Amino acid sequence: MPTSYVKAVSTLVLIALGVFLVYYLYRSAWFLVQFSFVDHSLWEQHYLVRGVVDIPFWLRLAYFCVWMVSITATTVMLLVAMHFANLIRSGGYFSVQMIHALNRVGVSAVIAGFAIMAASSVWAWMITFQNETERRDITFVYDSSEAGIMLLGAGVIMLAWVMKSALLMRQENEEFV
Amino acid sequence: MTPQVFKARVQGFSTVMIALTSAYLVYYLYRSVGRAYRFSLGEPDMWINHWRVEDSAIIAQSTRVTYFCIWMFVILASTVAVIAALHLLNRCRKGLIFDAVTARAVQHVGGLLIIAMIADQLFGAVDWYLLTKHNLVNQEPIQWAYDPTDYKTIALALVLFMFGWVMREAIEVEQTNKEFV
Repeated sequence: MPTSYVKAVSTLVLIALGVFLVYYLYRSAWFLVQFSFVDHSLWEQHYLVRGVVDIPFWLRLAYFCVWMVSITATTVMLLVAMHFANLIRSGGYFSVQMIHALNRVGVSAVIAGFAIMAASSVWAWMITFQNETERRDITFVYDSSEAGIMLLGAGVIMLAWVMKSALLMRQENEEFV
Repeated sequence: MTPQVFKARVQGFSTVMIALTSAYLVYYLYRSVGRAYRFSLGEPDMWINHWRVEDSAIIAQSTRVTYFCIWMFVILASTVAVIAALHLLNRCRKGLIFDAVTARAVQHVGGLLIIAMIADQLFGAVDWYLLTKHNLVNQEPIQWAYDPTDYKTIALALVLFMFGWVMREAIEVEQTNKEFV
């Protein structure tokens, strides 16, 4: 069983992740709703938009959905990270269950990083879709931070796989003996 | 899966991850150091022509050097974290999985990433201040700049750090039990 010190730190981590999750959803999802549906002037007066444009509902919905994928993946990542911290806080030992949680954190991190890079690549194209002039094309946007998160997520997946396989193999050997 | 097959697979995956991480590190250094150098020292016009900088502003050399040093610290902190990750992957490649040194390496990756991201947040706060320091009218104060990517990375790094910690404790308890028996 983890020491009380580890448990106390995991409680702090759990609280910090919870606070960030609430703030993240408030900033990202709420702004996205405002931009896509509520305040039409935010899109119509965007610095990339030229002239007077009318943004159809389907385009607003598509823009919303594109960004919601990354927001949802990030939210899932944070929720699983909170579950992981809670496992330690509630006295969970180094176990397959803990490694499963680690794996899920990695998977959602990779999806979130990929989704943000994909959304960033089509962002300007969608914003300027109704422009008569100066339309932007779909352009691959490289973001080192998001690429780093994807790589870190892949590393976490690999670490979880290695640990799980090694743990299961050892348990099998112990049962055999 | 036999231990031999498992070892071969771990070696294969670790090698692929080492190659990807190394390529990322080289490209990251090339892009980040290049940009920081060109913006602050190499191409002085880049700063002068920035949209937040007024036409009348004259950028002092000391401000340029400060800006460069600050961002180099962040870049170096991130680089050290990536090198720690490479060290961890190399241990996996060698088959050194369940030991205290590997657990500590997992913790190091998490801890160093947290330091790098905190540095990024701190220096992000002085970024606009330094950029507009020599403006005559619109000078930006030092202010916190919210970057969700930094916090997401911190969340991932915290998970890694905690995982390494629990793993290390489990290994230490096991060693103590073996010694006792």
